[in-house]
Amino acid sequence: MPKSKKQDQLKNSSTSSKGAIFLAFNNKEINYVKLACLSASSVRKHLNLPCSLITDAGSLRHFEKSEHKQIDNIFEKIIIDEKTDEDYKKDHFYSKYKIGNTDNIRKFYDTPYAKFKSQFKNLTKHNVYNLSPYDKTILFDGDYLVNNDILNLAFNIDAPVQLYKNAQTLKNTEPDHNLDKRLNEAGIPLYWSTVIYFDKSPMSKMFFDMWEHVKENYDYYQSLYKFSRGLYRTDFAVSISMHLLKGFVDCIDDVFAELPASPMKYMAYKDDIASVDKNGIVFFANEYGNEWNNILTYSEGENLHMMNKRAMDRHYNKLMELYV
Amino acid sequence: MDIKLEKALDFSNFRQTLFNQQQTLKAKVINELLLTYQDSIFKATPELIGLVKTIVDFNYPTVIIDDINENPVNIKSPKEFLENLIATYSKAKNSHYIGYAKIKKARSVKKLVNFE
Repeated sequence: MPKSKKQDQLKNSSTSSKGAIFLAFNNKEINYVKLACLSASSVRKHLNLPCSLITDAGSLRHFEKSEHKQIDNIFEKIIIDEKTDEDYKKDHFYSKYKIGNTDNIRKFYDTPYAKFKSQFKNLTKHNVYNLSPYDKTILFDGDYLVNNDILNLAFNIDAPVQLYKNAQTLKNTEPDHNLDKRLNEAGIPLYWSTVIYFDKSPMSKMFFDMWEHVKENYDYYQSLYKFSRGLYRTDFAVSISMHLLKGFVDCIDDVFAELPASPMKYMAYKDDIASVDKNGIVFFANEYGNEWNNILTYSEGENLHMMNKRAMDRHYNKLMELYV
Repeated sequence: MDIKLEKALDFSNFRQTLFNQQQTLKAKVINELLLTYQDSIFKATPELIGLVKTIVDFNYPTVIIDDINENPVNIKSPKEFLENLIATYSKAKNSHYIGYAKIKKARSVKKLVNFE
């Protein structure tokens, strides 16, 4: 490696702590802690970062009981969110997003042929700024797999908040659904809350405070930005926060920047994993509108947002072998 | 199904997968061309390498270069910056060449996607 690149990296690593953080709250259908273990293993292998987990006592207990293992060798810190389900139910915001007897329900697909609904516990994601033990943090969703070291570049860029703006399917095309591109047909562009780099600067704090403000006034912003009612989506909350903080203009900014290697590549809910070999993953990429049709794609060395969580679970052990 | 039609459809599937794997490889290489220098992010393109090489040849002590977000950066050591650009470019293009050779050699969808 050339001297200065190395020096740049050393300069950053010597003056501040760096790490990755994962939020994982299990529900009846998805073991998010288990997924976060896989994602953290990929981060440790390719980015060489220490990892911490934010979860609740129930999720941790469930993971240890169902998987019969401890996770101390993957996460250096496990931060327990003390809020119980009862506390969440008291939250006036939370009760507004109640559907039937359950709160903030999201519909998930596992290939075109199976679907299920489950609770989405994402209301406290903005608290990560306060909970992160690191000076410079990358927040990952548990369904994100890191397969190269490009995200390490984020630590060397002078931009306090960085996230993905655009996304790309396994077929290297734009997202099939408009809501994965814009908040409505003619709305502001979508920023993804799947991976967020942030430091502990006042600018970062402003971003997370704005996120909280948008969450607290979600009804108002829903009518202002004209997106569909129902689910609280953190992608929408960060997109609105970005729009407000950038002065209502969608511009290239050196404070709120895009992550290196944008667009974010993702496996959609209706895609499936065909197999996992020692270097990469073979996918069935489903064709939107022609659900009977799939093409095989192979991914090696690319970071991936794996939306089909049940497919991840089916191939969990093989995927884990990629990061041992 | 008619054998000729079946063959044609197989070929069509192969071309579709081939195109997709080529696009995937290109996207991967574009990402590998990124490098950070003086707290900014740049893409090691032949044009940028050519410009910085000219600056170095003319012995300019510093140069202002736009990063990928079009923010101007005062490069304090153009020679060192050039070395970084060339190293990043060579590594990315080498990976492109290896990936391309592998795709070119594949004659079936199974080979293209490493599916045994």
